[in-house]
Amino acid sequence: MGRRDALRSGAPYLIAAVFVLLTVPPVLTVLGAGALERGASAWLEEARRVLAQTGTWRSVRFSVIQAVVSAALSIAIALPGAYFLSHIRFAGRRLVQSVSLLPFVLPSLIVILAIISFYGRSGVLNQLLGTRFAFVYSAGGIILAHVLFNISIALRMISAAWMQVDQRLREVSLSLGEGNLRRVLRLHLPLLLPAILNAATVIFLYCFVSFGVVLVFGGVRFATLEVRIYQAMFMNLNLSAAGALALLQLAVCGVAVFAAHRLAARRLAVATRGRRFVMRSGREISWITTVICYSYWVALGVFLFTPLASIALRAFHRNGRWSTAAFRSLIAGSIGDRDIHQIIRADFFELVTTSLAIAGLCAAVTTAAGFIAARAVRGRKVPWLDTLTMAPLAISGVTFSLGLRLLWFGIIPGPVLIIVAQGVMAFPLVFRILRTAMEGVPLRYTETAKSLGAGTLFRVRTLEIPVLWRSILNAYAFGFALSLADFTAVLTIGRGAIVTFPIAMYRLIGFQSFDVALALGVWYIIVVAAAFVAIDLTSHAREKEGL
Amino acid sequence: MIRAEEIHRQFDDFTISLSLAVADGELLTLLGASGSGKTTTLRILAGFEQPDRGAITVDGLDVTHVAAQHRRMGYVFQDYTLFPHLNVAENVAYGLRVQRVPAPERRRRVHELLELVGLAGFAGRAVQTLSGGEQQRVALARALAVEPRALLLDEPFSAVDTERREELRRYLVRVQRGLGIPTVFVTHSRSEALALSDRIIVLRDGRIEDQGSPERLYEHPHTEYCARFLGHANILTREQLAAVPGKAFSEDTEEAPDARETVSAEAGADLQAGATAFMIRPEYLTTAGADAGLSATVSYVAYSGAHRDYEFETPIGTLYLRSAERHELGARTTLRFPRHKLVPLPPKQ
Repeated sequence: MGRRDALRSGAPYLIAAVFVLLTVPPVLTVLGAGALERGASAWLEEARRVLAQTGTWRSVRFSVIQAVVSAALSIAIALPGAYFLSHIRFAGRRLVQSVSLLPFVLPSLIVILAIISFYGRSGVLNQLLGTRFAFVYSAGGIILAHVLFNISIALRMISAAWMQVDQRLREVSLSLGEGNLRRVLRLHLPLLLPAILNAATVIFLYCFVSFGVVLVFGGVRFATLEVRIYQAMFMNLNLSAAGALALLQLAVCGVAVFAAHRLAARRLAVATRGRRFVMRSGREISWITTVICYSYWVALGVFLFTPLASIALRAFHRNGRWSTAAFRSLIAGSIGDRDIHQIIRADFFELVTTSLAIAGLCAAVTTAAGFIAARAVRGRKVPWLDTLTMAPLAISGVTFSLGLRLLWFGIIPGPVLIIVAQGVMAFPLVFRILRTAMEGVPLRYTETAKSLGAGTLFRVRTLEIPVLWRSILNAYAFGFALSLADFTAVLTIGRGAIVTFPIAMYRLIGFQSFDVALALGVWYIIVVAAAFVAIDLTSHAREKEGL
Repeated sequence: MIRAEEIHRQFDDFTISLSLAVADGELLTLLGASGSGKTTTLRILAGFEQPDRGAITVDGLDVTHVAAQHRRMGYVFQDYTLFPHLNVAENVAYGLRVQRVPAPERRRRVHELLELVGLAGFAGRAVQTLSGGEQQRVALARALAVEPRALLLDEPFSAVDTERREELRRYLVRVQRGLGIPTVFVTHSRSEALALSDRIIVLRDGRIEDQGSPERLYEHPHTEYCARFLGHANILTREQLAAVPGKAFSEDTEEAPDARETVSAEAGADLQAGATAFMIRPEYLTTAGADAGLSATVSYVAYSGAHRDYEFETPIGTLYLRSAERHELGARTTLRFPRHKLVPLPPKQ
């Protein structure tokens, strides 16, 4: 075996080692902190006590049930959309694709604000209907928020898989006289099942470790494991209990990740089959399909975006009149007798530059790491590595961030730790985007460039980056948005010293400045939406060229 | 000259083990069925795959452990693999950019190469707007731009339509002869191999089955596999041949082909050594009048324009015949065997 072969075959292990070194010590630190503090036997005693509590198992049950229901609902709602996105070239398809991602990259605080201001007891919906329904502060609110967050994941993952289904299979089925419904049931669903289950697993993990939404909507009655960890850690100051609960949470997530690992292997088997996909344009589809397609998107748009629009509606409303005062106050620093900059503990310029600098750096580092890792395992099936890199989805953000702080605070500057924490959390998505894109570029391009004498750096610069630039931009945008939206790591590691958008919103809400929080939310949505739409639309032209 | 000496590469369920040499200006074809190892052999020569052992030399220089990007072997893939983000001229200039050739010189070379492959006016075109044949010519120009020490072509015409294929073959032969560099051409098409090559290596299961000039391989294959792979062949055992009446063998009077003397000598030796089977190509069988040869009945006819392909049922089994003559299905006739066209085959390994 040559040196290059050895390097190549060792690459997945090297990536895994770096990944494990980054993720495992912080988690172990939190798990073991209690034992270090009070001794192993006391820790075990505490763990036994926590595991014997009925409340713990009620939380496990609730965590699992809400995550399963959220995943099932997200997928059920997304399935028709995934079909339309993968089969029909309808007008506005690109816009739908990019805009539907928006809720996923918004801070949980904005989605929470949106749901309260639309579905809340005195929300827009109740005002329109003249009723006073209240279901937000319950399991219903939690599931609603989770579905709102995760529909876009289901849409993306399932439509991408649907596009991989060989069109000729459909044509064979047509030639055998199979009807539409039977074809969907007997051909498409079995082929798509691995992708559906894969999406379900990812959504399950997101919902299972979701924090902000459950904390706000669940209260004490509907606590998930994540909330119980938080309560044990910060309210009861019981590190042992927190460690035991985190261990339990990891175990449940481990089972889910194992299931995902098994499914990922099957998913590859479907995706690598021969394909010849032809998307039908508007003229080739019946009017009834067109009507159903557009009705679906209108309905989904209403479901996803009216709550967000209600944020804007309320942000522009002050004392019963239209006003831009809340927006102006962000820059001016005060509204009425409230000193906004003092509440936020930063001026607007500082808030924007800190947020953008952290997010920009985090996205750059994560994208570069994702690119290097995807390149190292290019052309190889390493399902175990794909599963391992999904692990951060299953790690509690609170646990991980706290572990990083306990381990490194004082040695490594806070902003760097925040970037590491956010980067690790964003890595699964960034890596997936880049890995999928890189696998889509035939290895023959690289080999041709090699035969022309191009070395590694030259190939990266003149071939790989230009051909993959859309996916790189996409990965960067996701890294950027996830970092910008992060609340947990900044709060846990920064401890108030570092102010980003979600922290500012959190403080504004805490000081009863809903209107300014909403205005900040509107700015946030506009900036992120504009970035995503711009990326998707500019890359559209390149896609047409066959890239 | 490229030389691969006793290269060996083990895969899970497949092994490549062979030696080969290609002289300057020679066009060597690796011919074989799918999975015979021809593309892998080419990839080993290019440096995309490493052999487990053995050596590869180019002009006497050992390049076995030299990375692909330092070997200067022009490689052309079957599906062109033009870089989609670059136009025609930029594609051709890619290797020149690697070599840091100054821009004016680069432009001049690209212009020359595009002229050479008949695409002079195409420099600024997006590669997606070209036909398959045009794309393959750009790929060829790109491979030639770096003045490679050898040209490696992996089924370069298989994605091109039949009409363009002829034209591309002519281009390739003209360009290759002009440059005088060793060229290895991989194909599974026997007609392409026969038409283009100076020499053919027939690969089977990662090993060389037979090698020689196209004519030698077609007319006088050394193995039954090779006989069948290069075209339709009637393979007759010694017993079958013994059952053919003596009157069915004709003595040939036409001028013998170049290879014949040597082969006749070989054939004699092999016959003495006890060859177990003999081959005769369908076009060498002839029909004759009643009682003039082996009795036969037409059981299948396929019209192919210049000739017809027949299957005859005879007392010794089914025989194939290719002829411009017309026989109706079910017609009875007799077949004759020109004695010197019977090629002895060694016992099966």
